[in-house]
Amino acid sequence: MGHHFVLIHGGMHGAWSWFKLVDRLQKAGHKVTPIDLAGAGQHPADPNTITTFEEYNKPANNWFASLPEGEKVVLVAHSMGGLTTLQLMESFSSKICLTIFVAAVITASDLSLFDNSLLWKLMYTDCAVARYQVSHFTDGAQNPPTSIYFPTPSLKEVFYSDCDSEDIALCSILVRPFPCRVLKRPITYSKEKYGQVPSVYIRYSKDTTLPPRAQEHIVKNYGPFKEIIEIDGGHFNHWPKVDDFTKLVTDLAEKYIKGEGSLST
Amino acid sequence: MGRTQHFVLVHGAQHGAWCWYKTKALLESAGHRVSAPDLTSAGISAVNADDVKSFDHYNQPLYDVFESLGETEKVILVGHSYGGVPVARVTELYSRKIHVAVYIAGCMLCTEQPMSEVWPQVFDEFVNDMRFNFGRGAGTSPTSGWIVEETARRTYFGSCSPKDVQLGMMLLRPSPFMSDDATTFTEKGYHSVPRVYIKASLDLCLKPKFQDLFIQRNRPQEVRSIEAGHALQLCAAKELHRHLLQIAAAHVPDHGDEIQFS
Repeated sequence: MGHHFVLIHGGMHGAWSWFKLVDRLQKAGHKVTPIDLAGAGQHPADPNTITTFEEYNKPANNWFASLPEGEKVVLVAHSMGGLTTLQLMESFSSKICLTIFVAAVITASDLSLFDNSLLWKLMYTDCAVARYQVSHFTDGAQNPPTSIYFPTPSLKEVFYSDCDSEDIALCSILVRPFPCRVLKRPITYSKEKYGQVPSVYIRYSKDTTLPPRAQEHIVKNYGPFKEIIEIDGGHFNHWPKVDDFTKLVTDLAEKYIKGEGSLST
Repeated sequence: MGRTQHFVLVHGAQHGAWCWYKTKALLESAGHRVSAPDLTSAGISAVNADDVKSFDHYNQPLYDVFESLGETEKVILVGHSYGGVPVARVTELYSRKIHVAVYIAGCMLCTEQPMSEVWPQVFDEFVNDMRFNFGRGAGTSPTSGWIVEETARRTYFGSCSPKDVQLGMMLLRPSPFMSDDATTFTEKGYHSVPRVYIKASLDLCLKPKFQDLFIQRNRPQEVRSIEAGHALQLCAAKELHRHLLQIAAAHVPDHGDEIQFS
């Protein structure tokens, strides 16, 4: 059965970063919509001007608002795209039949990632991201950073431990600074809306971007998940292993979506 | 280990720096430096094609690369498709900074010839498959244009792998129409820089007969050919890489057999 997959990229990336998966899913007979969040990929906004999830998520919200009632999609969220997805699931729970979190960041309702000190520490202590991160201060040095970035030579270690030099070259051309001020914004989500959407979590056990200990904390505290799948790979394992990943997400869709309009229990 | 060379790669219409990802990876693995700018309104540029004010505005990111070069630094300049037109402009403006200019399935026009004189002929087969924006209002000349999806897929990405077709189709953008892209070639400027033309013999976008016409009317020093479709940097990246290294070896003085052929 053909599904409609909507893909939410992680920080610094864009719709482009899903190109291999889009190709495979379309060939397997599914509809796929990868979205550029604001200031990402080919979206024209300057990430340094984005401070709220309302601004950052706008392209995805606009898309969901225009999706006709009765149509449902499978949401696939990677990395920081997890935070965007919390809001999308809360706002559009009737339009999402399954969420697949992929090494994705999730925080508690009403608790911004920045204020979630335990998770923040697990994510940013003693790891490549902490070591190499560079901040831009377009609002003045006395104000908080407006975006964060990683110098090109550090990209392989920070993001692409599984990827080949060709893929890394492509990423080095297309990555853009991430509007880090959104991380200070809480997202409100509820059992009544967000909680109605079944979700699964795919963990990457050799992840150098979102450390496994942070993923462990997330799956333990921010579920429930219908299933937790552990894959022996780095943060972008779905690039070199795109065929396995395609099979996994389509199998998950088949397993947890029981016909149109129904939610699995 | 060969001496590091600096390659400057110029993408074509609707494309962006992204199209050079394989060439960039190969050249950097071989120890060379690569600059591949997004021209204004291309790739991840924040500017809309309809807001590109002039050819100079379009080329600014390329001019910035040349402005940032060291006093004695010279580059190997490579242009694909319409990218041959910016290549000709910077060859005229920065001739002392260029070892050799390489046109890959490129528009290698004559002196003072704008692209607008040439493109309807060259793209005659699919001029009906193009769409336009009229940013200055109806009744004015178009401000940007693009090729419709099916034709773009077939002509831009013929011979490409499915994932590269997908990547390309996701990242193509409208191209600005600029009336001032003609360059006057001088002996001291444009003509002082050796040129090499690399043909794509299976090209469905810029057909081989038009590539031959460019070569005939404005003879380069050397012509090479690769049996592949229009986007040689995507569908024949390794072969293109070998050609680029050979061209560099032939045109960089005192380089000789130092260059690494990997």
